[in-house]
Amino acid sequence: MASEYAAKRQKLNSNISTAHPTPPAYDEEDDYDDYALAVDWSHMPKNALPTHDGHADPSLALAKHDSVSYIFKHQDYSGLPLKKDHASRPLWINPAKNTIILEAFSPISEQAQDFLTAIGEPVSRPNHVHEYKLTSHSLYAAVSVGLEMETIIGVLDRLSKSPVPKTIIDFIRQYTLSYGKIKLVLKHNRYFVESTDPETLQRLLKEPIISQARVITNGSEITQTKAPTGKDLDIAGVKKPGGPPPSSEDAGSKESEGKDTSGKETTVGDDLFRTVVTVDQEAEDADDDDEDQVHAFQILHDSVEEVKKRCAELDYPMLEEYDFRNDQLNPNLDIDLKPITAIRPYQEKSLNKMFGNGRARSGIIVLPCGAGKTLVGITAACTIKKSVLCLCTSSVSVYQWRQQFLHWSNIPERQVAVFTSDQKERFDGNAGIVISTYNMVASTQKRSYESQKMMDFLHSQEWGFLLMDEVHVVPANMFRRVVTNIAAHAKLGLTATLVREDEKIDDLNFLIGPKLYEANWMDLSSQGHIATVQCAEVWCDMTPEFYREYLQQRSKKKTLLYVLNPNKFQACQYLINYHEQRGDKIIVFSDNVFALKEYALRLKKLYISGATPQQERLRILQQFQLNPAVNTIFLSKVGDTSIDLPEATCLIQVSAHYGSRRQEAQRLGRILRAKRRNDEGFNAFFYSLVSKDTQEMFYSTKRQQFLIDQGYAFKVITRLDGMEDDQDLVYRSKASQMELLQKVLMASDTDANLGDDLDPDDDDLNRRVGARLKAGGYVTGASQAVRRSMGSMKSLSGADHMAYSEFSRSAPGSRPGSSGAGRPGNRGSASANQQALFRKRMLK
Amino acid sequence: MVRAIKGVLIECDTTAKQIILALNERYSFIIEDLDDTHLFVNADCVTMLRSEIDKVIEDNTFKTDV
Repeated sequence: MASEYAAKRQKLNSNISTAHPTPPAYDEEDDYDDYALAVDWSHMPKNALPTHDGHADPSLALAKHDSVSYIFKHQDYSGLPLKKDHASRPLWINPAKNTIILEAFSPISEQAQDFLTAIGEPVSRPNHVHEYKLTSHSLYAAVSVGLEMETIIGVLDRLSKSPVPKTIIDFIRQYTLSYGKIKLVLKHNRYFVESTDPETLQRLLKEPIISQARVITNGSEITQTKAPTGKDLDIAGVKKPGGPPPSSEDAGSKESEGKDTSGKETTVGDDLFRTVVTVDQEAEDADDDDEDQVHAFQILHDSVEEVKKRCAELDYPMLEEYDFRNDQLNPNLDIDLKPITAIRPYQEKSLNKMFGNGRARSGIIVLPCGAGKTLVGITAACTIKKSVLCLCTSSVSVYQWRQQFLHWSNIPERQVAVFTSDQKERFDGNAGIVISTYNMVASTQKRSYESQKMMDFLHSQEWGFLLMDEVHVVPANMFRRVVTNIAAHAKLGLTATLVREDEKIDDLNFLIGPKLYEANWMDLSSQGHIATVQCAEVWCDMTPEFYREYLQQRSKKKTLLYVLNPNKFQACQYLINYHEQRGDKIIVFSDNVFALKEYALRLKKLYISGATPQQERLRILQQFQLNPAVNTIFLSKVGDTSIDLPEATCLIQVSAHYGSRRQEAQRLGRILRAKRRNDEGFNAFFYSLVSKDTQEMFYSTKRQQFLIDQGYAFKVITRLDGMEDDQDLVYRSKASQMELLQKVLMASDTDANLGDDLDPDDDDLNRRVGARLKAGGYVTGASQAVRRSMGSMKSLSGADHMAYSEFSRSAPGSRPGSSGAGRPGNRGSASANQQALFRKRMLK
Repeated sequence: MVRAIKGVLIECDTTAKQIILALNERYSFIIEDLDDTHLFVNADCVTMLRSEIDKVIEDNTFKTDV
């Protein structure tokens, strides 16, 4: 069969080549054979290959037409010439899409991976083949860690199977050349655009957006100052390669004012500044630092983001680096990691990216759940040693961060302040750490006297370091408020899942900075930093009765029907029994609270939903952790992020939030930190129960995409062995199934909702639940100011199942497009004035 | 007088049968409902059935846009 096919292809090839002469000696068929046999090919008559001088034009390499060409159409790159020894080179470069495919099984793939993560962004990293993408941001990041254009192209060329296409070279050149020309500098709480080349600034000022943003002081267009940093920067740079002691002493003496650098710190520091990439390039920040004159103009706080965006469009991306070692203006914070603290290699790597050239670069670090994001943040804070503002999503995590700071570093307790709705304190001394939530800081509501004072304090301070946890959840406009109101020199975002269903991730690039580092989940799990997880998707047939109703019901009820499918029920019970016998601790997740209760009560297990009071939650969690008789708990959405249960080793997902990839990853994160992960042959299990032939199949596959990109493989289980014979399972009889069906049909629409099981305070950053509660009359009073929030058309029209939040927004007085923050005012009172009866009706 | 209708025996899983039954309410082509997995239907609507069932199944399949 194969040979027949090959012959056919050969024939086609020859036919075509008579029509228009293609590059002579290159022939796919033979190359393929070469590759398979991997013998020496010196005798092969293929020397007529265009000797590769790195600049082959893809247009020259015409794709040959053969029997499968129609499948690939214009994406047929079979015509790209291969190098003679291509078998030992691991990269394929796509000239049109700027993507790079890496053969991860190649012996040199480890070095190649280091290099590729430095210059590109990982798209997908399964076991054997990885995909990376070159983007402008990733290239900027590459340049700023000290890679030069020629090096990038050179190494790419060395690793690539075919000569680097011209389009790619141009792309790299375009984005590396202009990098570093202009800088955004924060001085005395004012933003300046700085450059050594006044002409560049003049050119920028011709742009209307930028010139509008400028603050004109004393009539002078552009101020000139002496470059303040020249010498010291070199020290930071020199320190890099081996961390020679004299230079670190130098650095120590430079910043010696009133504080001594301990021995431990320097070792940590040395580790930090070692280069990541195999190419041992020295960071030559020289070109702009050597000159004495720096030209600058000041811009408005509010328009910083716009200006940044515009500059990036003009190919003058702004460099945002904080030279914290030479910052004499802001008081130092005496903070160090405790000597017992050990940083894992990948944490070090990620910090390397941040402090690559001795200055702090703003950006985002992506690490899987349970891989120690907190420690990365704390280490960064310990390196910068200035005042830190740390923001997280809920007050629970505020206290967790505080505790972690005290645990890992030597900072005295009174210098870590907490700013939440219940607690407002300031740190002692003139530098310290403030931990707060996004809601507190970005809120535009009228505040109490105390918190207003606290906010004034936050705004007046110049922060050395802004640390942001779980950046992916925060709505862009909220971020904007935080980032524009708070003057911070360096910003670091931490997250496990840099995906959003609304594709707003790109905004983060301007608001915080590029993605600095993304850990490879598979590597971490093979090194034992996170647990190895077996993922499975269990397909459960719908029972005929349930499916019949499913076909007839409206969409909301459909959800309930496929979640409460009796076969799923049985599969869940079966899996629980099976894993309890193995000695696993099991968490069952269900987004739908109605189903959660149904399952938990029927299977006689404990459950926690949003309505469970805090006391009881703690009690249940404690039981789960300590009581050998309680091996299974049911959790609603509340367990997605904030609950930390290292005992859990098995996770069963019964219902989920539609196609949310983030949730899937967050849930997987619950078992990644399993305590027993380093036991011999230990596996954690992740089951996702799916009702066949329903929408759930669609969502389930979509949800998995992120994890699949991280290299996880989902096994599909269509039949659980021995489930049919198990007589103890629930809903064996038709009668009981029908009873369940009746119950489901009787359930009200609100029971089918997925998203409303969070406290208004926690995690619910969009205030969806809050808005709903308010509209529902649970919370009344004019004191509750109205919030404006941005949303996609989909979410505004209720497709996200927040249909009711629309109500408060369309109330009289709201005006689409009114600028920025919500307007505290009479809207709240308007809804409060309505008749209770009337209000209810408007809800429907 | 004997009236003959040409029919086709369909064997399917229970869910597919439910889809067919739902369709039957619109077009009515089932001659005999035999058991959980078997149906005897009018031969004329087999192509229609195929495409309709495909549509339902397709709706529940996720495709990545490459």
